[in-house]
Amino acid sequence: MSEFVLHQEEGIVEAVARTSGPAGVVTASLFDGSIEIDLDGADVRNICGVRAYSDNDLRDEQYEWLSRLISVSRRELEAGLSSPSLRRVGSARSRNFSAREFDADLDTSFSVFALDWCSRNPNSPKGKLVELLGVVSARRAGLWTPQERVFSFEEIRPSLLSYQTAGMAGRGRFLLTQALSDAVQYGLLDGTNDVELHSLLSIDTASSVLDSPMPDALELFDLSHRSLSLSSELVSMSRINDEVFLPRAVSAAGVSIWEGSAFADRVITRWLDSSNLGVSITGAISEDEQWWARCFDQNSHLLLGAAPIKTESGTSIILIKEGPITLDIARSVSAPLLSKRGSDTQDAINAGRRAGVSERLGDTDRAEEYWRECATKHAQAGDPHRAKMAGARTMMRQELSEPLLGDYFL
Amino acid sequence: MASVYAYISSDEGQSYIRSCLTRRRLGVFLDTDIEEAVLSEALRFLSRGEEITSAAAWCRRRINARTIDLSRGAIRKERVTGVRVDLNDANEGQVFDDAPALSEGLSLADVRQAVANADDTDANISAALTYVTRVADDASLHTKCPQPQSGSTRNEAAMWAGLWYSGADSCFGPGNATTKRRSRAMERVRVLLVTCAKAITPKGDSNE
Repeated sequence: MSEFVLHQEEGIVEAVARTSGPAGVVTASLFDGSIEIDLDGADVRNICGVRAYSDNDLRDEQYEWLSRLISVSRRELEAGLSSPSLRRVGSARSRNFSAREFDADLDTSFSVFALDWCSRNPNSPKGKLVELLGVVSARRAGLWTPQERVFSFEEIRPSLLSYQTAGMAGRGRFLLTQALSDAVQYGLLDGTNDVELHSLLSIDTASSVLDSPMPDALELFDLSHRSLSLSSELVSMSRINDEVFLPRAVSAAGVSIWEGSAFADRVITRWLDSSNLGVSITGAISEDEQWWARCFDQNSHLLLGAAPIKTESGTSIILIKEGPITLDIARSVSAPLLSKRGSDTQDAINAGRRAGVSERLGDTDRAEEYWRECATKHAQAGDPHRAKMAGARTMMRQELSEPLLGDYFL
Repeated sequence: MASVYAYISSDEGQSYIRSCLTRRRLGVFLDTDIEEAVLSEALRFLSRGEEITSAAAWCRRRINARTIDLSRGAIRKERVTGVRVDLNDANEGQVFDDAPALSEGLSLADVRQAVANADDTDANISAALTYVTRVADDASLHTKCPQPQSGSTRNEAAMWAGLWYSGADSCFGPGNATTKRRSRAMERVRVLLVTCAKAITPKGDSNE
């Protein structure tokens, strides 16, 4: 599983340290996009790869950080970046590297994790808080980033005082107060005159605030859904399907579900009239995620219409004329249609990530459940190697990292 | 676009896709997903007037990035900003004077294709597609869809529908702030539609 190779091509120097496991990688762009770092999706302290792009001028502190992270001298990195052709610079064997040297510290891990999470969930109400905590970790880890900005306490207050943080475990609460305290100290968080913020900066007084979440926190989180009122028939139909175990996916006349669609086995479609297609997803959808229902012409795959899935109700209405169409659920309107295997691979990776979180939090039962799901999905995708790796995780105990702050409330 | 397609289809391009997938330990069966992603990215890239000087270099970089996306478990959200237009000099009555000329010989499929490939936010693309369906297909609106009461053009009413179906709930309701928010949202969608219409109008047919 461990290897190290440094190579250069097309203006990129890439250091590959490890093979990512069944949970794929979490990736973040650091240093204004000039450097990217990949960590294993489940074992988030394992560095899988680091890339440096030559079209962004690297500064001294970036070279220093790169050298520290991957133990390659600045002279060699510069030679790699300026070389016009593909060139293998070194390998694990020739350099006597060991995988142990490529572990990220907890702050680097959480910084990458937080940035990756924010880019995957751009509309989440928790985004500002996660971003702030990620920037604090970046500062602690010594990562330079020019996008640092000052957050106001009002920006993060709703997510900080939501029901999720009220139920946070003691260790998570300790990490949170430390991070907020550092945010104030680094000048990243403004609001030092706020009584609530003052209380949150100490573990002794934080409980008084965190255990009394804002009464309207739920409403704040659901603000974007407040004015939508869908056909009650559609919503009740999805509930009935959940309860009596009818076939989960039901398609309206002329509507076929794309094979690689997200939630393909949980989608119910129904014509509300000749121009309105109701779409409903059975089961829960994370409030952090944004999903779009998209209609394509069945023959040409031309995009005809799209509408967001409301996470509160799991429903959506698309304006489209009745006819033979293909429905797809995706994270973005303009994302290309995924194959069934591609979709299964993504499901497997997401299950693996959830397994990693559960493992770090010590919830072994749930971790095993997610690893089994991960293995099944990889097998369905036709990737027996990763399926085997995921299956093996349910049987052997790994040397696990401590939980990241985000594990407690994301 | 032809050179991008040629590179992707070539032995060299196929081999590079396979090597990227292998490097990330992803199955080579995902090659069509990578091809599809890179080709649609090329369409968007070219439709906003940018140039690809070296198809091979451009494709290799995109193939690499899209492979990383797959190993991350999601497509990266790269487009975070929408078109922002200063509305100081505009009011709602004027906004649609130069709405896209759907009835002037443009193919509806071309308009939809251009909108779908536009480099804009998901919400704006969704609203523009709904607008096209409402105006061109004369689709009937859902009973809950808000509509302007009077004194509005058909295009403006269609734009309201576009916003509602795209989930812009905050644009509806009482208050000046809401009206202003709606005006701005409508203007962003209008700019997108006009840009797309201009992009697909054959040169010489433009009214400019």
